[in-house]
Amino acid sequence: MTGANLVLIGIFIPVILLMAFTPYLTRRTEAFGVTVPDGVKQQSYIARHIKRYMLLCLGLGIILIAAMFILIKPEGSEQDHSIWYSVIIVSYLVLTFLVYIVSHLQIKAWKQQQPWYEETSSSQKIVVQTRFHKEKTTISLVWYVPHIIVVALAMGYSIIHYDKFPELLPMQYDFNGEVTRAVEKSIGSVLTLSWLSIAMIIVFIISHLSIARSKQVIESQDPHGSLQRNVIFRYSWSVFLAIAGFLVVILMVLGQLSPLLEWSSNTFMVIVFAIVGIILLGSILLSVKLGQGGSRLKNSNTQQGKASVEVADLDQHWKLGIFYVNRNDPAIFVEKRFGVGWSINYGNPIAWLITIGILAIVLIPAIFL
Amino acid sequence: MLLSIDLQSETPIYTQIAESIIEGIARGELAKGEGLPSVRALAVDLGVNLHTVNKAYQLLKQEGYVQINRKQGVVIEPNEFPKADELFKRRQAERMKPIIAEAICRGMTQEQIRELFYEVHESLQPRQQ
Repeated sequence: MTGANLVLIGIFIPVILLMAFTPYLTRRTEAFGVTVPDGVKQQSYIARHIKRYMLLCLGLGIILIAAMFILIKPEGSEQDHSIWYSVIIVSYLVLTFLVYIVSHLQIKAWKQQQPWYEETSSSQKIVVQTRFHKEKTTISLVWYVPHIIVVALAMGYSIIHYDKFPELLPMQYDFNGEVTRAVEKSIGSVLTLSWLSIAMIIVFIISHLSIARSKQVIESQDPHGSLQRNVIFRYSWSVFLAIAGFLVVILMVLGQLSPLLEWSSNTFMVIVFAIVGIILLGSILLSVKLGQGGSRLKNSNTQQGKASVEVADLDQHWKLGIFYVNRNDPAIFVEKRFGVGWSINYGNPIAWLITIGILAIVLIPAIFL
Repeated sequence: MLLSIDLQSETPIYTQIAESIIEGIARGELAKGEGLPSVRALAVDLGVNLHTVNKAYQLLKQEGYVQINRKQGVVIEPNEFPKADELFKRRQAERMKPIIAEAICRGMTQEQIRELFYEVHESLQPRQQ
């Protein structure tokens, strides 16, 4: 057991809880990636699957944390630790995924034997609200200007005070705040975190656009209400994204200026964990409060009534209920089915290019800096 | 308005989109001068090709139901639609012919066709919200 373990457990527990409760956060019309009519999710068959998934996720989570206590010893090297962490986390993800897949396949087969199946599956109707994109679904991109200003100021300040930086720059810290890698000073290395900030801002802006551009989803039993909730959902997440992005930029800028600030490594670690904690808590709070697509919101406006429409379930395009693959659909971004947030249309080459671009933006600095 | 298309229908999708928008105008769900989604946005929401939506909008423009401006994008024709003149009536009569012919083949009487006609007309009246 190491100090790092305590910190990681602080991060893992909320994440495990969030995974376990995912079926409660998804839309009322989605059960393990399968479209079902409103109300069916509460029926005993699916309710049992949800309960089983939740218990298994929690059980595996407890095993995960126990494994961390047993397998990760303080006397082991940093490298041993990171290997163990990867092994433990990856096996947790694989196992919970398998639990999901079992439920997904069983519910998919079960759906075809239900009396309501014929009508829902035979419909290939697509319904859209023409006014949806006139609504304010996200904040303006102008809100990312402060991020850019902060990075620009940090770059300017660092260049002006270049000679105050030490000859050896710390590049990597372990969980106790000790420097594990340092490089010689140069303009490029002094500004490392600025470049990374710019990369992060690009990723945040792409995420912002994915919220603004993703396909609208109409729930067949409540077309107007579901879209109203969706506007609140998208708007809230775009606000959160801008705030989270700003905090990340602040963190990186402080990191870049840390040799000049003469703060203790402890102070810095506190700031790191405070910011990570705020972002983590914020995203959990939003997920739980709003639910996927805004499905956990109560509508204030019920005048429109619940005139229902027939809508195609699109199940055939959702591989394993997780991957949306539709070559005929020009959409790049789509709302996830199982989980909270957005995903891409794997049938669209542009979506692949954007994903590869984001990976490159994040990985190239990680490998070369 | 809620625009609806059926992927299994024999009617081409661009025709369905255009017809659905004309229905929306008839019902008063789309107001004069109201903006329609951009070609890309509507194609993404419907999950159909951009050309399909573009074709639908061009068709509506030809028929005088929408204007396509560089700045505002696609808007419902803000001015009064031209009144139905003789030419228009004759064209509509021509279009009704096969529909009524089929109905006659199936043994429908004039009374029954009339009833159906009223029913469809009723369904296109502005809905009470």
